[in-house]
Amino acid sequence: MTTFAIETQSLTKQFGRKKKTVVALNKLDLQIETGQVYGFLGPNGAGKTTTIRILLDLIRPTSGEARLFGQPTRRVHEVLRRVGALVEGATFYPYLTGRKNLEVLARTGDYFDAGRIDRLIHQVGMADRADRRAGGYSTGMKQRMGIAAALLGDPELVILDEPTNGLDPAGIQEMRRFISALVTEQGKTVFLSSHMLGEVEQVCDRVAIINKGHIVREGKVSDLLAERPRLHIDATPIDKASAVLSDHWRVAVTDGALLADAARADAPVIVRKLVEQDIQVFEISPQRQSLESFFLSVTQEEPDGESVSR
Amino acid sequence: MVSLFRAEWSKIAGNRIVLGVFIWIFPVTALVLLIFATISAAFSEQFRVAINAAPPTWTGQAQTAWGFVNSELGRFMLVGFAADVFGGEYQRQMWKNLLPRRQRLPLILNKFLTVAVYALTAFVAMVLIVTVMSGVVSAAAGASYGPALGDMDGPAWAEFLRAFGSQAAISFSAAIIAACYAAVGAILTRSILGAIVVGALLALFEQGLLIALTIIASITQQTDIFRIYLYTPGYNLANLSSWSNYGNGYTPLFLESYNCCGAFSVETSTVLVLAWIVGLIGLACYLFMRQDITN
Repeated sequence: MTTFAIETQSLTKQFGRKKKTVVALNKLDLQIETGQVYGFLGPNGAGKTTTIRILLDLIRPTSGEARLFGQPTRRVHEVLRRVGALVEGATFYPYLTGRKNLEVLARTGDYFDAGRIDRLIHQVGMADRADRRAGGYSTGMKQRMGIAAALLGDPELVILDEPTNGLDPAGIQEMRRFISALVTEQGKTVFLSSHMLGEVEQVCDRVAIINKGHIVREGKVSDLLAERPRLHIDATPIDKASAVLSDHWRVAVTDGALLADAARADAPVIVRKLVEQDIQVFEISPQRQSLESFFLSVTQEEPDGESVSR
Repeated sequence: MVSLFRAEWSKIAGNRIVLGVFIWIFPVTALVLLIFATISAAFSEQFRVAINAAPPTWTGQAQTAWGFVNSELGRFMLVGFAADVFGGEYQRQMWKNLLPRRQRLPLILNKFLTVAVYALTAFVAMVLIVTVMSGVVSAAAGASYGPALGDMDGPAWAEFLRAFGSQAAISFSAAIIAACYAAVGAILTRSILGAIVVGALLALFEQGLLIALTIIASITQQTDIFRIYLYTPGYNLANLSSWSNYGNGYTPLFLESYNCCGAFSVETSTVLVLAWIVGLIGLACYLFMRQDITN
């Protein structure tokens, strides 16, 4: 029997009472194996942070159960010693230095080790700023120290909620390498919640997309992106082409061309239908879908600049 | 637990403004006032005459110092301090960093312990400063500052330690109850300011209760209702103080006119004060254990 790093069963959370009830999670089921970077995606208010807070025993589920390494977090607090987390932006005591903050957190967890704190500060690139007061840190600096704080107890599972918030492009790239190294070099499991879909696509092995409190898609990134093949069609007149194809395929007009949710095998049929209607076809090619467009399509939104017809 | 205590201690130690305004103010104010008194004694004939007319004793001064802790201002300082210790975690969004590292019960109990140790440290420092510096003031005024240690026999020491211990316990209990009010306020409002307001309101609750009871008694003509007041921490602390200082119980002046109820015994008041402390800490723990941390 597989022991999952994270497992939730019918996890439900409602906030408020009676008429003002908001369902943040609706029977959420997740099973995340160890030794991978797992992406957790969803629009604002989808329930990502609520899930993370339940996993960390910060809030109680209305029903259902959350387990870490097979142990229910509500009843076996000890299991949280195997977890490090950065939740909704790093926060610190502003009047203490970054280093002192890490010391306080390590002592709270009873795993204070000055040498480890020093190494972590170096790893996150804060060596020259660790002895300044945290109140003067930029968002990016706080995020770096937040990562260090999450790793203080040398956890097997690292939960990162928007770790790249406030980081510059170089910092984001550095963070991506750092997260990958946590898995490949240190054998940890990383649960990564992020809006930076490009980053998630590059770093995650599997992803789950959550919307309105439940999982709408889950799987390997490569499998998910192959799930909805698209064809890029350069044809004139484009409006007529769109009208012809929209009876059979979901079609979007973007940058003067058509994007049809169709497989490579559909290309000859598409060409024939267009030609039969005196439409000139200049190019037709399969287009690899990005995680961003996949995410937007499954959460029933479309990127700006696209008009959808069906 | 030692590691957790050290974490809380160093966290509070780093917050110098809060620590200075609400805790070190006790010994620092005592020191400043007594330095001023020393200077006055050195330069003011009138001041010297006043001191020589009623020379202080170190045994008396040591007990008097505890009185400030039990004053409205003293208790408010403790409310402010506890409000920051408990409410600060919400305001700085730090619970999300702390709770995954420790269970809730030890975390919250450790806060009570650390607040108590900080407060006790400040109070003891203040008492020492008042006791020693009062001697300096007396010396500057040319007054005696007895009793001499050689004159203190066994019964005298026993009596001093009993009175000093009682006063310290009463004042410290008052301070802890004020801190508990602030802790409950912090957990309910999730902010420092909310904790101060709720803490101050709860501390003022006894006066409000007395007014409410007076109104109810005048309408219903049922003076027995005043018995409720005898169960408040404020009354029982005053009652214990009265038993310790004068050997008899305390009945508020206006209650004497109603002739409704006699003073509680030392034992009853001691149990009630302890029940309030344990009850308030228990309430804070209960609320905290059930709370969702959403920020």
